[in-house]
Amino acid sequence: MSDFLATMEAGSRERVRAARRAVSEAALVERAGRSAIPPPLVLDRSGFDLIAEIKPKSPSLGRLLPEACDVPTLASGLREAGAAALSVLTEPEAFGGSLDLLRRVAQAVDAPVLRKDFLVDPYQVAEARAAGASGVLLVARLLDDTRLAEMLRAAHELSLFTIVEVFGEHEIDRAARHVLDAPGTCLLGVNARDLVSLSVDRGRPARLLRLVPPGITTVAESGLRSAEDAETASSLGFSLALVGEALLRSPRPEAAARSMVDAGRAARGRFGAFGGSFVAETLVAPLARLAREAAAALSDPAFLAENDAVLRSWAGRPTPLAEAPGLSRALGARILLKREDLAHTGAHKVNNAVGQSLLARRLGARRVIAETGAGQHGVATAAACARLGLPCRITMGAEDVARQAQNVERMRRLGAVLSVVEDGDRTLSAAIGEALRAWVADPVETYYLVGSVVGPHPYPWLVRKLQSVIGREARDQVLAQEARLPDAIVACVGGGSNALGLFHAFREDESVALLGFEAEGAASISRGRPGVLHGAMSLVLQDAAGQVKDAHSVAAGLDYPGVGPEHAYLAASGRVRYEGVSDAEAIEAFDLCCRTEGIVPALESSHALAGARRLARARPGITIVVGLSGRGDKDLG
Amino acid sequence: MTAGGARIEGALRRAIDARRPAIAAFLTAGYPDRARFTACLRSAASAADVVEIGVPFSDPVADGPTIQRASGVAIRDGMTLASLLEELRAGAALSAPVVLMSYVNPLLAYGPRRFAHDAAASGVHGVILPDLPLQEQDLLAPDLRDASIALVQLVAPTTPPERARRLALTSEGFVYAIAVTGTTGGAAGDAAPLRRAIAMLKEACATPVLAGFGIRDASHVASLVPPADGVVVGSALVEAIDAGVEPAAFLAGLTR
Repeated sequence: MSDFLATMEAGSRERVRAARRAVSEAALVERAGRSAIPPPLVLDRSGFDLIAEIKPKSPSLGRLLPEACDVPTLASGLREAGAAALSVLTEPEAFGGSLDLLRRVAQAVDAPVLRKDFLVDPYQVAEARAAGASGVLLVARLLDDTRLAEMLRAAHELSLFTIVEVFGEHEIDRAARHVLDAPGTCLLGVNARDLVSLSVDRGRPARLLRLVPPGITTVAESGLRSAEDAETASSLGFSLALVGEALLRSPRPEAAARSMVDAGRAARGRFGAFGGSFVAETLVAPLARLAREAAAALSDPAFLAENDAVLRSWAGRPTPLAEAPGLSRALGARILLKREDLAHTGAHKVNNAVGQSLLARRLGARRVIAETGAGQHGVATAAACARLGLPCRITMGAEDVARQAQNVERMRRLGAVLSVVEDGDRTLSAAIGEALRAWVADPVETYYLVGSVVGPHPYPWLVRKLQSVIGREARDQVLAQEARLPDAIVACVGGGSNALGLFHAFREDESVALLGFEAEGAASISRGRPGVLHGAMSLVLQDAAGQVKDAHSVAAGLDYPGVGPEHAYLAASGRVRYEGVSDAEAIEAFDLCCRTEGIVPALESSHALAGARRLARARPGITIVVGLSGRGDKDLG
Repeated sequence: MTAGGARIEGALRRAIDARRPAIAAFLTAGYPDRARFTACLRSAASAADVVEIGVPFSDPVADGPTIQRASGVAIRDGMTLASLLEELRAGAALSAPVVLMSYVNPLLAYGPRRFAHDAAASGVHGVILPDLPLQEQDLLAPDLRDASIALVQLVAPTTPPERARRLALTSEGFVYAIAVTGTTGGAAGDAAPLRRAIAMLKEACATPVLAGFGIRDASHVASLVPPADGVVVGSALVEAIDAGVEPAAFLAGLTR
């Protein structure tokens, strides 16, 4: 039985014949037309949605739903988790489904339900509607042009949406033509699984997507195993992902669905109600190009391999994760330090500077501009640009230039031109404003290398992707060294790139508490309100009239009245807890780390150490990973 | 079309029909100070076809040095969106329709629905939102529509042609063609591509097209009108006020 699809087709035809004998097509259509109009497919404005699929078993994996599974409850949970629609397999032999199963799901949830099967006859479209479905999936390979058009028309007449599914490159043109001609809502599904051989080619959807003409809404099917896969599919341009096995095999299908929805929308720059792209029209097209190119680069194995090689050979990765015995004794908890201070140029900032400088070169940029607060991002950018021979200009507030003199000298030695900003708050916020203005004057040849998870899409997503190496390493290291996950992870939060980079790999580990510590005088999350600053909707320190307030912190890198939009979302969702740390607490923790560990931490990172101290008091003896985001030599001047 | 859009377009049509460049005059609210702003506004309204009032914002990333400075002065002087709306409501009606130009955050802080209602009650006919591109406009557009306030769309030199046509068709009152790749008040580049872009906008829609950003003097205006129907003048007007020139006199000089 080498051709799976042929077997399915034969079974499908047999079932239609049998069904027709029992109920005539006219009677069925009449009954379907009389049933209540099913809920329509409504897509989220972020541009990404999930269709969660329910199937009792599959030919590749065997049984997926336990006999005792309460399918309506499962379906409600998946809807609750953010799925735009549910898909129910109705094929009985290989998938164990039925129209009755679909009927039960449609009755249980107030959501559109898709009939997924190997449909060959308009009779089956009417069956779907009569069972309460809102849509049907049509496998293009099973239907000639006449039949496919007939099925699409039948679906439209019954108010059903349709997905025309392809899995071969040569099918795209024909399917796209039908999708564009079809009345009503019609989407194009791209299956990573070859339905003849059942093999999965995870690169296929991206390859096929490039052949799809504009104006078509696409669905990625099969082969999506994780939230990261959903993120990649979305970043490449898929508007929906249809996922079954990864959800049904998860111990917590609802959480897995939620993660996929969140990840897919993050790739579109939407973090719940936060994020977006609030920029001058002049920057809209350059940012759209950057988003496209960044997504392509981040799913290009050659780009990723080069990025990884530079991080290893030039930036000194992986950085160690090591127990800090002195701090552990002093704080009464097991403290593990993730040593980003040991990365080249002295902070985590280099991870982002390496990736984005390679992206700048890929985009053909002639020069790079970047803002800096504490100077760490400026130094990292200057170094990465020197390595690639890209001219680089750094904007920095006059107050920060005065208090971070050592980093100013390093940037100059690395060949960067410094623009000192005397306006506004004369710190990081003013430097970002000035960099944005310089970019708007030359958005095509200048690459703006944003230093944190802030700004318009794609920056918050792009910078988090590049910084996630911190958490990926830390998770592997802690599991290798401790054979278990830590109880908590703490990091300091200014814009929030080191925190997101460290947290991201642990976001689905429910047992791990994630805590972010802001400077008390710059606590946008604890004390801010939703607002738009520097291109994104996030939490912003502002007065009643919407004017942005000046932030104040002893740590220049935290001295910012906004925060990355993903942090605003993680705070709202409750996954991460955020607290403020005073200058005095941070300085105390700084001294303690110097004396007990022989490590001079950055003042920014000292906020994380102060947070760990507070946490250890509340929960003595626990294991805490602390993001030591940078070294403090710069703060000794 | 909204009533506000019709009023703005009507005022511009009078200039177009008289075969002279339409002039939209931009002033930062509360600059140089509260009292002189009121006088400048009346003077500008007497000479311009439309007046555009900038709501000062702490982080004006689309503005060049002149408007940045004016915003800073106005904020320090206590100017807010609320006090501007109050002043417009209480004062005698202006002879030209009023368009507010604001970054989105002050409007969000005020509340979109409340803003639309109060702005309409204060005689505001349209708004220009330089950091709220088309794909984010769901945040405000429905409330503005309900209050009959026009939403003016900006088109930049970097905007791809298809999007430019869409913006032109969506825009109400007029289409704002950004004349420079950069911030307000920036130095003019080559006029030829700009003239071509404006001609394309004129073909795409029946709404008047005004060019703005960095428009400085009469010869500059003459180099863009036609194909443009007129210009928006901001930084140069603020600088003229700094130099002690009466706004009406400066504006009259632009079309001589």
